Amino acid sequence: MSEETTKPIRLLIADDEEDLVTFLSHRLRKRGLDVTMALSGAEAVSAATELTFDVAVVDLKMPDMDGIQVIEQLKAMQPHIEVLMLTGHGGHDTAWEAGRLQAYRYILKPHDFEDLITLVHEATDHRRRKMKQEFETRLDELMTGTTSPRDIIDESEKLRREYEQD
Amino acid sequence: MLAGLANRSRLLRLKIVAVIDLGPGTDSPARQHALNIGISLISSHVTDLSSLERLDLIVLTAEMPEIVTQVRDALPGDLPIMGPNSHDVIHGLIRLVDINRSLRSDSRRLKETRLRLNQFIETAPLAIYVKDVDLRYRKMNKHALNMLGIREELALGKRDRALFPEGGARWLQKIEQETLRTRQTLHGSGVLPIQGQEMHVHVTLFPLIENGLIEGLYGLVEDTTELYESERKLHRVDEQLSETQKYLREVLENSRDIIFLTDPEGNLLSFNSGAETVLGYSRDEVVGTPAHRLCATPGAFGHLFAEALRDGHAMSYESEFRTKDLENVIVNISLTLIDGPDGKPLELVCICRDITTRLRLKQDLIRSERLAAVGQMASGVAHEINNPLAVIDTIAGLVEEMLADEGKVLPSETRGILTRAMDRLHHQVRRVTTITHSMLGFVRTPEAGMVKMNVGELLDECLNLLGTEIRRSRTEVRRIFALDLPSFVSDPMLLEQVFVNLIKNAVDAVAEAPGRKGVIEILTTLDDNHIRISIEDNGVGIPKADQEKIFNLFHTTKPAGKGTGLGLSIVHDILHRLGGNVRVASEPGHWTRFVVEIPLVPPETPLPDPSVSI
Repeated sequence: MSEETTKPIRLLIADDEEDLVTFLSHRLRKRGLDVTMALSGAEAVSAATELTFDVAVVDLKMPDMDGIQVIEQLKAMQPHIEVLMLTGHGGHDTAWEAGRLQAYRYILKPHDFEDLITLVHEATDHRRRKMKQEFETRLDELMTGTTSPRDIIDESEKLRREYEQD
Repeated sequence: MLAGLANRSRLLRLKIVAVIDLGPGTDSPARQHALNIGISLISSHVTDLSSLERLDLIVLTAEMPEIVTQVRDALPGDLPIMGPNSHDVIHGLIRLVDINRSLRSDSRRLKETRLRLNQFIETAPLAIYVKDVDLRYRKMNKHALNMLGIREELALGKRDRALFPEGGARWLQKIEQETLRTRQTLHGSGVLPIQGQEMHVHVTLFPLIENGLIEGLYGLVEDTTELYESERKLHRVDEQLSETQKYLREVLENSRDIIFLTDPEGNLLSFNSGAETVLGYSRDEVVGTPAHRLCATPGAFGHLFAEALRDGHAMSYESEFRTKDLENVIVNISLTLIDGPDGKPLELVCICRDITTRLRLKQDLIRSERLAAVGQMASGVAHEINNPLAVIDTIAGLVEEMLADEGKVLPSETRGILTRAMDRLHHQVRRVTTITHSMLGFVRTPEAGMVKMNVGELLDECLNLLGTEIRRSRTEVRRIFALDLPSFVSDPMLLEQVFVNLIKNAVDAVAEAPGRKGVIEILTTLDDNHIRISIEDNGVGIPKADQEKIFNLFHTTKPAGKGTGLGLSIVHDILHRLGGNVRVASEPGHWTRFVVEIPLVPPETPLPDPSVSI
């Protein structure tokens, strides 16, 4: 799937620290990522209603929303999205714990930029592998479970479109 | 002859009245005669006779029958009266009087003695009886009758078998027979069944001998029941006392407290097994030596001792004893003075309780509390610093990249300086990061999550988290994990902090040791009830002097800015809470090895965690 690797990674970055979002986005774009910025939880959620993302980097503590709420809402809208939880807080409280369980990985601020890039790539690969597996499983189910060849063609076309769009 | 008679009558001091017809002063021949024979003339007139008593003889000097009548009327009794011409019989009379008087006096004395004896027998607080040779009761005093609860007429003439139940007084009869046989005074003690109760008595038996013949015996019976009872009670009390003493001795002896006695000079008189156990000395080694030698601070003990001698009691909540192995044991100590019967100080009891462990736990708790407080503040501060730090680092990185890509337009010198500046900026940010990240390590989860976990997975996770550092320092990590290590229940979050800290330290240590390839070896083994994780590096090592202190709060061996002195203190604290422990061994300049032990079964009651969630 060389085609997919060349496709820019779609990244959502959500943090109330505007300076961080601005400059981090700048650097990530320079590395070829397709970056969407959000300065609050609400902005992040609304961005996800319009665009599909491979990975979201979400600050755990934002004034309007708990990071965990943001992660939950993003995952509700885009089940395949991978989240990197960003935090200045090492506190093992319940929100931290819940976030950690839902997130692909957590990153303690200040983070190493190269590590962040690596993790974003890893998360994207992880997402794609997972989706490919899922697509194949569902296709298998379709082949073995559906009756008419016409249906198989229709349904598989639907499935292909669903996974390609994501 | 007359002179002899006169002497005799004078010796007798006869009271003789001569009644004469001529009245006082008349010197009649009879009167003269009376005087001649030594009869003292007490009265010479009949009218005085009635007032006279205890006359022995009346001598009439004239034939005066009417006077005789008068005298006989006035003085009743058989008083001899002599006529005027009976000089010859005076001698005989005097002898008669002599005998009569002596008899009268003897019988009077006898009567008095009898009376007194009877009185004594009746009133004596002893039961007294008289038995004849057939051992029949002849007499019993009031006390004896009362004692038996019987009337005299029912007892007299009876033998013991009529008064006591079958065989009840056999022992007494034996002694009585012996008294009759030997005619000696004998004693005996025994029990008499009297009025349904057992009476303890002491009996003294006297033989009753008259005219050389044994007539019977006297018995004196003393009720000793009360005496016996009190003796028995005394005996019982004595027994109880000795049992109590034995019990107390055992309690003292087997107490785990240190208990010893000293004389008023402070020399040890005893030393219980608790003292032997705690202090390591045997009784024989120390008894007789001064107690203050056991103390880490003999002076303080001396003061306490003096106080106890003065006030009777002295206490100290934290005194230090020194064991035979020269370890200090912290005790609370109580000294009590015991006075002897003469009121002078006899000995001092010293009871000490080893509170070393309790005190250590208390210190651990204080330490935990302090850590928690520091943790709260530190994590708050770290959070506030981490956010701007992230911005600074991002911008520095951006500038660095732009210098690399588009900085060719700048003079090369300017570009060089800026590049180097950006590199230093990164370096400084990392320096601050080291501090803030280790400060965050203090924050704890409020409900420590005890779950089933696998130590290998946890260590892999930690190595993953530290991937950047490990790669950057080009350190080789060797994992030697025991196969089939059981999973165990502990808190993976807390343990993650432990291992991240220890591995990070190892990475730093090898980075500081130039000229050789850094190697970290992580070894897991199973040991009885513990999982043991050893983390060894070939880094700079830890100076011997620091090895003891590295777990202390704010103690750091790292260069300024590199370490905070928090990490190992957190490690120690966490393991302590999870029932495990951590030890360090190091050869300065060559290697360091941390060994962590985690119990397979967590402690029943986790140590109190005073931390507050942030």
